[in-house]
Amino acid sequence: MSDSDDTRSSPDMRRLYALAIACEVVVIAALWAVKRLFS
Amino acid sequence: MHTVDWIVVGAYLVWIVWDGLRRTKDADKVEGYFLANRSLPWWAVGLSVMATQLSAITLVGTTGQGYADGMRFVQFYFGLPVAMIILSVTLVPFFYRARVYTAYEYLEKRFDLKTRTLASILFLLSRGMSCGVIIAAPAVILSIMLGWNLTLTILAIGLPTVLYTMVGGVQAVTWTDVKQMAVIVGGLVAAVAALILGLPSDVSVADALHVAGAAGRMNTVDFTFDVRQTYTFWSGLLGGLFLMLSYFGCDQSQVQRYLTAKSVDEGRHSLLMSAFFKIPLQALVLLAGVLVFVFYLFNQPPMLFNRVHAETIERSGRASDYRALEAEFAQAFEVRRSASSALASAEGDEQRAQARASFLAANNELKAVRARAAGLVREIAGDERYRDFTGDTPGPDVNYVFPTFVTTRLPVGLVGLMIAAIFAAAMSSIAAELNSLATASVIDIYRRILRPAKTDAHYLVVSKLATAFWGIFACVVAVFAAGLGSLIEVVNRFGSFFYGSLLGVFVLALVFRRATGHGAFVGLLAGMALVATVAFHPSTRSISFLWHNPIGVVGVVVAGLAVSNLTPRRSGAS
Repeated sequence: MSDSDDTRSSPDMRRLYALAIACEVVVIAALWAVKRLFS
Repeated sequence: MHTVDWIVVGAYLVWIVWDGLRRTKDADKVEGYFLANRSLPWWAVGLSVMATQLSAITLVGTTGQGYADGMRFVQFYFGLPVAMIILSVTLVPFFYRARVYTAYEYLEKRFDLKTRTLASILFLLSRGMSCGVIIAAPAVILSIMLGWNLTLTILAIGLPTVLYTMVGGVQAVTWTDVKQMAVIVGGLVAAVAALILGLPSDVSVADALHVAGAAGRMNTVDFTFDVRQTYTFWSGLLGGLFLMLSYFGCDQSQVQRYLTAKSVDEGRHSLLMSAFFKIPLQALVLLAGVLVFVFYLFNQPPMLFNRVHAETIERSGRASDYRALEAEFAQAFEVRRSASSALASAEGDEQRAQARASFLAANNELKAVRARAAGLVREIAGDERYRDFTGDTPGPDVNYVFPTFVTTRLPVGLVGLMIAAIFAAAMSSIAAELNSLATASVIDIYRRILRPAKTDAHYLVVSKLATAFWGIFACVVAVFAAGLGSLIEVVNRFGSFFYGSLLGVFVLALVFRRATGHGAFVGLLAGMALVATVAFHPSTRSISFLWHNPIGVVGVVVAGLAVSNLTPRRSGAS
């Protein structure tokens, strides 16, 4: 991983942010599916 | 408790203290003691961030919440991943570039000394008290469940933590956090496995979850927008977002974790670990609680989980009434057990609807008997908190559900592991808080205001003494807090007044160039006053506490900008 004094996020970091959001959407969708399935 | 369980708990304590004491590398200078010379890998820092957030109150309270109210509490964390990304983009690089020890040090660089000092003192007051509560809450539960002496339980949790935190500083805190997370997750997985294996042979996991769903325990996502409801998708995503921004961005107990990382990017990675794993972890904790609920559908639970009140009533003139209620409860349980089995094995929509109706009626009957038992508690023990219910369980009983299951139903060895996990959850949070309290005391108050020009060796000694002081202070608060349920609420309330407002000051610092030191200082006070008004005024009291955080931010920004427009900007502010 790169170290930098730059306050801006690197392209790798930006991809990780996008992945974190995608992961949250998938987790919430899975939780919603669990509710639909078992309620 | 069985000898094997004692050995497991003892081995855990010895292992953690030994590991903490040998982690003294770089702890001979103040920067090494408080920040590990900014040298730790992201994964260790990330686990430390998660261990700090997951206290024993979370572990025991959340499983109880899962039992009594189901999975809806998971929504509380929906704002967390977004908060972590916002912090990674904004505050984390600013803190690193400013080379600060504390979040509040940055406020002096941006505004002035009085804003920094006020923020730091608010943190010290709030966290100093809450650290005592973090020790007291599990100590009270464990002492009641296992018949241990309360003061000794507080000391058993507090003293080992103080010892290794004082000697090893942040290195000891971080590396013990890593191991404590392993104990917590290992214990949880083992408990979930034991719960699944404990289901009746004719009930599958899917059947069990269907029954839990019928009882409203699988309500994972609720899109209703209602500010009076605490746990909805929107309150979690928006209110929770502000809470998590405040907690991870402005609370020194968390800021200090990621300031120890090797670089800006490693600090960001450590926060993103929570973005990926926190919601699944909390879902697992809640699932453990839901499975305990299912377990007690087929195995009789106690009528009241906090047995202290049952014993008080047994000694009173109403003992016969209580025993009659217990007989009624046993009968109602048998009816519900049959209804649960019928629902689990029902096939076809019509049969399932009928079985569901019978189950809900039986569950309501059981709740009605519990409500009468809670009425006896109010009458005989005078505990008015038994007026409130979480789901179908009296509110104060919720924290006793999981420990009751652990101590009475788990096999030998696993009981010790779960008690060790509760200890680990408490100790990991306490260690991080003691470490951060010492840092704020020494860096923001002692070195900055009281004794500015001393040697590094002098500040190191003072830092260790400060850690010991806060540890002893927390244990003393814990002894008093344990006997005063309302004090715990006061401490939590104070924290919520302070969190949103402190975030507001950082928003002023980062977003509004024209904000001045006077504006930030007055804004912080005004924001706290606004949140206190909203929390206590009869017309707004019903607004859920998660919304207090955005309200605090708005209050600080509006008041701060208004005052800033009336005052000149300090020259030299960065």
